[in-house]
Amino acid sequence: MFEVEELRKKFKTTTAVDGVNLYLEKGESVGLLGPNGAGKSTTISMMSTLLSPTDGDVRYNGKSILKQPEIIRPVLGMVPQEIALYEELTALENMKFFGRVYGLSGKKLDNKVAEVLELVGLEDRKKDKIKNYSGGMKRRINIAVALLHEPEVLIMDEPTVGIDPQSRSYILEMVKNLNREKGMTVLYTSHYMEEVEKLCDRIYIMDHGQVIASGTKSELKSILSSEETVLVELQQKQVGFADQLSELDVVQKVIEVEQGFKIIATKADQLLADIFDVAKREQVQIIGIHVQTPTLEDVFLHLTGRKLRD
Amino acid sequence: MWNIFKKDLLTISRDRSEVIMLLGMPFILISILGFALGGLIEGETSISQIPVALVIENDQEADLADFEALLLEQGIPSEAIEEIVAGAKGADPAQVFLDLLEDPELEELIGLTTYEQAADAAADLEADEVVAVITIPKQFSYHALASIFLNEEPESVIELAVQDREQIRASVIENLIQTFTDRYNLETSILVANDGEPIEASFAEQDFGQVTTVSRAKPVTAFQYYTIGMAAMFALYVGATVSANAFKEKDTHVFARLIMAGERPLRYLTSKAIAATILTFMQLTILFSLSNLLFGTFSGQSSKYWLGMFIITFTFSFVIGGLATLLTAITLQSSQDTVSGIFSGGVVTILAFLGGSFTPVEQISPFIRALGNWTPNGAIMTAYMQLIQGFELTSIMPLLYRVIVMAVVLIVIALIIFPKRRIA
Ligand SMILES: Nc1ncnc2c1ncn2[C@@H]1O[C@H](COP(=O)(O)OP(=O)(O)O)[C@@H](O)[C@H]1O
Ligand SMILES: [Mg+2]
Repeated sequence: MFEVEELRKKFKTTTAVDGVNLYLEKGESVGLLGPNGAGKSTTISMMSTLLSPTDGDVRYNGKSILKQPEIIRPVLGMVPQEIALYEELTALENMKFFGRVYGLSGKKLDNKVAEVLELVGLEDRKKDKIKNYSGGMKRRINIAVALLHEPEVLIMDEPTVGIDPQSRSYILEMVKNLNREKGMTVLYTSHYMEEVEKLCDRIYIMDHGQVIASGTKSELKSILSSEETVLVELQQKQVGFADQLSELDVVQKVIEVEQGFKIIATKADQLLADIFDVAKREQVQIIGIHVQTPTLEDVFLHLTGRKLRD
Repeated sequence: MWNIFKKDLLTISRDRSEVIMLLGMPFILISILGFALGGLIEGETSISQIPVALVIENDQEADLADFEALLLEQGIPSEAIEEIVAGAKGADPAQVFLDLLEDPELEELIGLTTYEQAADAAADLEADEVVAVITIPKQFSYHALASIFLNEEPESVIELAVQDREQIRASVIENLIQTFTDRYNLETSILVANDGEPIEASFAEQDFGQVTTVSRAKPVTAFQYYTIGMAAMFALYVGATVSANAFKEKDTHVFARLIMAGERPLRYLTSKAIAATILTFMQLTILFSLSNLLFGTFSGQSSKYWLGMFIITFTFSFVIGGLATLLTAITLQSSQDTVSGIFSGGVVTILAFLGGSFTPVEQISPFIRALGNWTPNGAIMTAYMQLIQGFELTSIMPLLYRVIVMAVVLIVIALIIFPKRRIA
């Protein structure tokens, strides 16, 4: 229904998006996962006609929207990464203003505004100015504005950045309901893998302007099916220990984490024994060891050698 | 569009610093300058006294004698001639005009110097020593009398030479002469229509009422001057405010959101123009009303005066709308809001000075005045001043047309540079 083909965007010095292909089926919930600067925002700006691509095409129901933005605009709800609202106005005033821009008026406008405010749970704070809102409330009202015209497709750009856990789970639950109950197609952009994991049917992983992996959660995780992740907790971290571990044949990556090191290795019976051997040789004290099932974070780690977040 | 205006009005009215800038500051300045400089403007003769040269080439005695000879030549009975000559003595148009110029009301306005030589007067006009030269030509009385009593074509008229650079004050004189001529011609035609019979009748009650109205260039009070001056200056800030708001909309991605929601860029720009126009009109109305309420600045003015105020204020609002459109168009092109900043930081002050918001600039140099009249605020200020001095609206209109042309030019430039398609 919504397709992106070989999309490219070059800015003066950087290529922000470098040949991205992706698609959304009707009613799907799709995640776009990637670290900061991966090119997620640039990609969805082009999908929502705010930015023209250097190259490539974006199609909705088979028609290119690049020359005809009016095809997509009425059916698209776009939640920008920034709080794109009037800070000095109240939530209600903002909603009514944008509602009118969408062409709503009179009773219809009032009803719709009330309905959406209810949905985002800000009915009782609607007369407060946005600038007096908490981060979580701002995020919610930012989403609310994009829902006023009952869009078929909802694109959200990191809608949960920097907010409290309650607001975050509220938003996730809300998006889930919009997708499951109202059949809204959702493209959810985030650098929190647990959000995408919880919310999305399919996931695209982006890095350096490119899609480096895509598929359902289990498909992505099967990339790691022949591998396992071992977290070794240490009394005291020691670089020599990590170096020695990397020398082992089965070990692919050793990443330093807070408590110690994370080891990604090909599944092998003697891995744990080898780890203890190295520890003994290097005289480091292991205080805990966990064998983990892979997460998307691990997939990203595996693919790029870096963590999603620093 | 109404939606965007309402929202702009709401955001601006909630921003304390904006309200202070657009209403508080000018009002405080009006109060301070009005009280502090009260004497300066009112006592300043050069604001009201216009230097005018008068050259009289006409010889009344000789003309009257010539006229008498002419009557004889026409074979008019001698009793009739006596009667006509007696009437003509009292009705000599040159004398009537001179009397008018020496009217005490008019003396406040016009500083009259009589010149023997036409060339000297012309030289002084060139040197800006005088604003206008009024010449009563040779045989003016003779021809005028012949035209009144014998219905001959008038061959001689009062001449007026004015300095182009001194448009406003020169037009005071032009007005004066025009009114005199109209009035005199009217009287004359009544006379002629009556076959010259009731000679005394019309001239006995010469009051030149109209002339006095026009020429009673009412002195401008300091409060009037600075109410207009500050209003003309601070209205310019509306342009900067509106474009700064547009930048904020772009910067916070609200503009992108509006475009996504189906707002067309051109309609957005139009909304900004309308918003700036209405905001300026509201600002000026509030400033004038407050000033009038507290200082009686415009008390006792006629409804015609208020109509003039309305027309000038509306024209001014329109040109500020144009200005806001241009500033907005430039702002939306750039990644930083330098334009609004430069405009409100420097350009406004320069425009305000040229326009005469701080001090009557014609006292500094007529050139600056002329230059100021090519700024929207300066032209508007002149228009307001003329209205206060009692000018007819028709003589103010050319200045307003000029301002409307400026507004159109600003809007056209804005449209040329405005990106019509998507804006990233
Ligand atoms: N308007 C722009 N001009 C120049 N570079 C840009 C612009 N927008 C984004 N970029 C660059 O493109 C890259 C991708 O940015 P973005 O799409 O915002 O990433 P993400 O949303 O995944 O964090 C970054 O390196 C960013 O600096
Ligand atoms: Mg982003």
